Parts: sequence; C-alpha cells; structure tokens
Amino acid sequence: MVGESMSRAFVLRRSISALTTVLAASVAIFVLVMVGPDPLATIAQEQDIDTAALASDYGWDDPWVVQYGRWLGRLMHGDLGVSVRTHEGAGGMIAHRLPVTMTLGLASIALALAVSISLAMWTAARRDTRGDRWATGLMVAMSAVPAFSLALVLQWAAVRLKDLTGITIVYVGGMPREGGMVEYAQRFALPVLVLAMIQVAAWMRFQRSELVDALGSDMLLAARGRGLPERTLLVRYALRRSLAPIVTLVALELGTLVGGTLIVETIFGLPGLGRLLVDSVQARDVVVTLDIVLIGAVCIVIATTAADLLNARLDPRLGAD
Amino acid sequence: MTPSSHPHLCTTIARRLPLLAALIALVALLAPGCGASTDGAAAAEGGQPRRGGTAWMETSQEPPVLNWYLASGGMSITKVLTAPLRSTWVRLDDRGAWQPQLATTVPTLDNGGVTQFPEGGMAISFAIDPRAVWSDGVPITCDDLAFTWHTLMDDRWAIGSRVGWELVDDVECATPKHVRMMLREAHAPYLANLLNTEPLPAHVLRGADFDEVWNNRITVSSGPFVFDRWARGDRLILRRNPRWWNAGPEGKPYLDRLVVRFVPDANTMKLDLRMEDADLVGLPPDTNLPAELASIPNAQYDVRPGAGWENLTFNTARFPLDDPRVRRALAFAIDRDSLVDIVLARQVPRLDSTLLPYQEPYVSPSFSRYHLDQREVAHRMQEAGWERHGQRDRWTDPKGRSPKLLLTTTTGSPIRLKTVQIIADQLDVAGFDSEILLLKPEVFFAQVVSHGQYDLAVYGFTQGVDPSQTKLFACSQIARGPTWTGKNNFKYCRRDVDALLAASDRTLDPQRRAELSHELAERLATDVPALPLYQQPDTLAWNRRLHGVRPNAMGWHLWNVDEWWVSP
Repeated sequence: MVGESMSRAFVLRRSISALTTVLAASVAIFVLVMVGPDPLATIAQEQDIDTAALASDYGWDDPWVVQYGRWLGRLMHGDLGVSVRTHEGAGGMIAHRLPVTMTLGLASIALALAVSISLAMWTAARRDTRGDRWATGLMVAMSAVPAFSLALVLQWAAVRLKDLTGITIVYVGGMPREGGMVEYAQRFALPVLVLAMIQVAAWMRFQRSELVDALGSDMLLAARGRGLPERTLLVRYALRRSLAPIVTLVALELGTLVGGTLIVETIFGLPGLGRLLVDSVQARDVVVTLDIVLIGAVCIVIATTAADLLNARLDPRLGAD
Repeated sequence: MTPSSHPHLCTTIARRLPLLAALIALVALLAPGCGASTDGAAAAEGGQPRRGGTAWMETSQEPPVLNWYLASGGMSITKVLTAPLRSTWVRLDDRGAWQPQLATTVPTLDNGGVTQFPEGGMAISFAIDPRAVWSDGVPITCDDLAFTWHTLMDDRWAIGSRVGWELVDDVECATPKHVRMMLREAHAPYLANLLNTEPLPAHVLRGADFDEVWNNRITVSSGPFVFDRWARGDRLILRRNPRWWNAGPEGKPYLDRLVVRFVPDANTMKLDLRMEDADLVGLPPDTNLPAELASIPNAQYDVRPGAGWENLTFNTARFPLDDPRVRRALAFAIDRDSLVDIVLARQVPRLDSTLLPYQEPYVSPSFSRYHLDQREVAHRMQEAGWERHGQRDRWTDPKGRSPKLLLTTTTGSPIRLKTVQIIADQLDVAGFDSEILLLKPEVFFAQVVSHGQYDLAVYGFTQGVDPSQTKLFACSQIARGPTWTGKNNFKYCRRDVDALLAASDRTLDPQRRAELSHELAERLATDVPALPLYQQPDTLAWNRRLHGVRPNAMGWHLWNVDEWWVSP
C-alpha cells in the first residue's frame, strides 16, 4: 500500500512537471518564432494583401500577450489556425503529414530496438571475442556515417538490385502510387532502414555495455554459482536489469521524431512533418511553424514522462519518494 | 554426379550457400551498370497511341497556390503544372511558332485579325472555336474573355501582371463566339500578353473571391485534363477531361490520369526514372546531367537551351550598385566563359543579350563587351572614386566604406549554387567581399528579390518569342508595397528606357521594332542592371513506356500532354 501511494505521488509529480514544461515551452516557442523575421513584413507581401488587413485577420496587431493567449486558447479547442502561405487549415496540413512521420519513426524505432538488443545480447554473451570486437567496431564505424550518405548508398543498392533481378524489391522514394500494404512496405523499407541503422549503431553499444555490467554483477554471479544456465541469466535477469537506460534513449528518440526524420523525408520524397516544418520556417508561415514546434515539444515531454514512469516500474527505487 | 549421391558435398554446399549468395549479391551490386544506354536523342515513336493508363511525372518544385494569374502563382512551375487544365486563345508549338487554340486563327495584321488605327489604337478580332466548352459543358464564349479582362484589372485581386490588359478599352462581343478587343494604343506583344492567356469561366467565378477561390483547386477546366486532387508535399492528380472540346476523332487525351509527384531531391528523381517508378522527370540542370541520363537504360532525354536566361541581377537601388560605374566594374570582374565551361560543361553557350538567340531579328549581342579584365575593373572603380587598399586589399569608396555584397540565389539548383560560388570567388579576386545566401524559390522570389533585400542575385527569367521587355525593365514594373507585384527586381528606372520600351511595344512593324530593340540592348549594356550569363539548359527525361512527349523550347513540357500515351 505504501509503495502504491508513493507511486501515485510520483505519477502526479511527474504529470504536473510535464504540464509546466509544456507551458514554459509554449511561451519560449512563441517568443522565438515571433521575434524572427516580421511575418507582417514578409508573408503579407508574399500574399499580396495589405498589411493592416493581414494583421487584423491574424490578430498580429494585438500585444504579444494577447496573441499568445489567443493561440493557446485556440489550441485548447483543437483549432490550430490557418496557414498564411497556403490558406489551408494548419490542423489538416499537419494531420496529413503526421502519419508519414509516425510510420517512419515508430517502424525505425521498433526495428532498431529489435536489432540493437539482439546484437547487444549476442556480443555481451561473447564479450572480448573476435565476434564481439567486429560487431562493436562495425557499430562504431556506422555511428560515424551521416544519414544522407547511408540513404544514398541504400538507394544505389536498391537500383542495382532492380537492374540485376528486373523486379522492384524496394523503391527509392515517394509515397505509394495506389496504396496497399506491400507497396507501403516497399516504399518505407529504405527510409526506415536508414533511421534504424543510425539508431542501432548507438543503442547497441549502449545496451551491450549495460548487459556486460549486469552480467558481472554480484547477483548474477551468485545466480551463475547456483548453476543457472547462461542463456537464462542473460535473457531473464541481465536484460531486465539493463533495460532502464535504453527506455530513456528510446523515449528521447520518440520525442525528436518531428525533426529527426527530416533528412530521410527529403531524400526519399516523403511528405512528413519534418519537411512541412522546414517549408513553413522558410516561407515564414508562423502559424504552421508554431503548431509543429509545439507538437514536437509536447512529444518530447510526453515521451520523457512516459520513460520516467516506465523506468520507475522497471526499477521501483526510481519511483520512491 | 548429383547432390543426393554425395550427401557430404550436398551438406558442404548447403553450409556455404548463404556465403555464396552474399558473394553473388555483392558482385552484382558492384558490377558496372547493365542495360543499353541511349544516345540521348528522342527515339522515334513507335506503335499506335493507346487509350488509358496513368503517366507519373516528378518535379522538385511545388507551387504555393494553383491560380496562375495571382502574384503568388507567378512561379513558372505553377503554369507548367496547370497547363493541362488550360486552353489559351493561341499557343506556341515546339518550334516557337504561334498556333491557334481556342481562337480559330492567329490574328495578325496580314490576315486582318489586327487593325491599327491612325490615332494609335488597335483592334484584335477573332472567332472562338465553336466546339470550345468548359469541362462542365458550358460553352467558352466572348463573355469569358471580357470577364477575364475585368478580373485582371480589378484592384481587389493580387494579379501578378496586368501588362497589356491595362491598354484594353473594351471587349466587344458581337456574338458569343466572336471577339473584338479594342486597345487604346498599339501593343506589339499582344499575342504573348493578351492571347497566349487562358479565359476564366465567368459562370463559375463571377462574384467569387479571386484571391482565394482557385488557390487549392481548379474547379473548371478548359484543357484536356481536369483537377482531381492536390496532396501538398506529395502529388497533384489530374484526370482526363471527358468533355474536352478538342478531343478530335481519336478521343484525346489518351491518358486517364496524369500524376505529378513532388520529389525535392534530384538524385532520387533520377533513380526513380531508372527504376521506372517515374515516367517523366523535369530535372534541374547540372554539370554532368547529360552523361548521367545517358547511362539510364530504357530512358531518353532531351537537353536544349531553354526559354530562360540566367543572369546576375544588380540591385540598382542599393549602395554601391546604385552607381552604374560600379556595376560595369563588376561586369568586368566576372568570367562568364568560365561559368559556361565549369558549371555547364558547355551544354549551352554564353549569353550576350537579355533576349534569346531564337528571338531574331530583335537580338543584339550588346553585352559581349564584358569579359574578365582586372584592368577594366580598376579603371571603372577609380572612375567612380573608389580606391583599393587596406590589409585585405578591398575596394573602398570616398567615404571609406568597403561593402560586403549580399549574393543570393535559390536552393535546389546545383548549377546556381556552383555559379554563385564561382562568382563570389571572382569578386574576391577583383577586390570585393561578398556573402552567399541560399533561399527556397518561393522565399527568394516573393520576399527577397521583389523587396530588394539583396545586392546581387543569380536567377533566370523566362522569355517567350515576343521581344517585349517591358515587364522586366519598365519603371512601372518595380515591385512596391503593399502589393509587391512587378518583375523589375533590378529596381532599374530610366525614363528614356521606358520610352524605348513603350515605343517597341507600340510598333507592329518587325523591322522598326528590331531597330528599337537593338537601341534598348545598347542602353541596357551601358547601364548594366543585369549581366546575362547563359541560356538555361532545359532538361527533360522520360522512359520508353511514355510516348508522345515533344520537349518544347519554350519550357512548357506539358503543352501537348493530350497526345501522350503509355505502353502497357
């Protein structure tokens, strides 16, 4: 009972902290975007509307505090505003792009998790052998490869594969022509692979190191002394003990999805949130820019809060007061 | 000997199989490209046109809005992509010749379609093709042309250009299918400015907010296709217009759909073409592009000097380029031949005029006087009272100012990037500091060059066949707030040049007009509001599944999209 009430207090504390962070982030984002190039002096001119009319339409002639309050109030009601550049609803524009970014991010994280944990377990079980050194060395090398280089190499490989077989196994860019799960998989395979490989390179080394520490711990030594098989020690005990840090890493990765997928979205011609953000920033579309950056901030806060809670569940000492 | 008779060998092979497969895959990946390369020339079209199917086109640029008449729809890509939705009164074919489209003839002085009045005005008369209807079945009439004129001249709307239209006094409709446009003065570029335009559907747009109504979808079409869907950042889908008035006995267009995908990365477009995931790609020019395209099996390509002239624009309203002597010095600091050699691998020649070679007899190579010459640079700068001194050996004006020139261009064009890098290097050698700024095309055009927020800019202008340059160099075309329309981004304004432009635009006699053009060319070369660099190479590549493509020197590649068809 005591543990449960402490856990509830921890959840409450983390939730309040998350809300405060989101609020502070919204103020910071608003100020940063609005102190940039004057939207009235740029967008109004592009759209060929007189400045006063545009200022009135978008409420930019009000004091910043009022503008901020109105923006926040609208967001609370699910109204993300209207894009200054395209005259479309910002909510619709973001909703159209969000699935692409989410698919890329979640699929790459799932793949990266599966590969990095498996590889970490394999190398930890064979620590200091030639296989361990090769695998770890390869990951070190891979972590130095920029995403765009990796994307270009994989695209080239896909083309050669098509030249060789005469069949398109994976596409090098673009959204599916007509839809269908198979074509989706073929279109997203390379971008997901690029994102996953970058993550695997970092996560695998981290996870391996945690596993090696766990395998050398007193508890595991004692268990080994009691004759438990190495496989059971690795999977059932060491892995569970070593998962907490990787959960935090994954949470951070989830939080940075919006900006993190930009390069692959550009190279593979996928209309995701990253591309929309860059387009909006460059076109001084402050409405869409504000919305996307805030969504990114909310994602990070939610992901880190979730990671804290999950870590507390994995290791109850973290959730104690 | 079979594996079954030698189980040991079989086991060995089975063990080695993954390694063997990996080795074969690696060799295959590293092997040189297979498949026949093309010679780059458009292959002869074979077979009978086939109805149905979808053509997949890719381009790197996406328009902000679809309404081509608005200032925000002024990018070339807007016109290119909406071409299948539009019919114009007259149009240019792939040889640069005027053809009637909605009009039954091309009105000229010779055929009586144009009448010049002694007091200075002119009348343009033509009949509208009796078959011409909108995609909703309503006939295209003279009333649509009158409505277009009223809309374009309505101050409420942010129209990109009103050149030519402001001279129209009246549009007389004797019958719904007969037009007589009355102009208060003669206007030689009437074909380009007034008749190479598309009517607006009065029955649909009357009373609508023209600044908004066609931004995201075009509701009615006069062309072979109709608008289906625009998923921003992804694709624009056009469907066959089943009521196209010019379908002919063949029932054109042949295609059921044309899908344009927006792919920001040029390399990905090339790979998509190679993988037959794209049927046609419009690629930004690059140094080695022809060689790269030649290596793609089952594809053909066309590289030709296009309708755009790349130039170094001087902001004549800003220090130090408000002084023509400094502009002339800069023109002598730039080696345009090296740009053509290094950046373009001589795909196109150096350009010495603000008109293009196909605009004979109006062209005059007046800018040939400018070539790399450091002595001329020094002479011109000293003439302007500048001195070159200091630790970094920079030019300094009489007030002790040594400006850093803001040199800007658009992103997404490899040759523009290389061009500005070389120009910056050449300016440095000549004693000028510069700073390169790369901007997305929509930001560059709508917010930077039109607003004069630059010193030097590298970009291009599209030039039709008519030699009129009023839209570029007339004082009235300087973009000013709050509307910021007008293409005179040089901020160049001279009354004598205005008079020449106006005289040229009023002169229907080609010989006299050529003389005026040459005089204008001389004036521009002296004042140097811009330095012509080269004629932009126009590169189009398509695979052999797609037929009927006829690249157009004017750059409107979709001009004959009704004749395109795809093999199964």
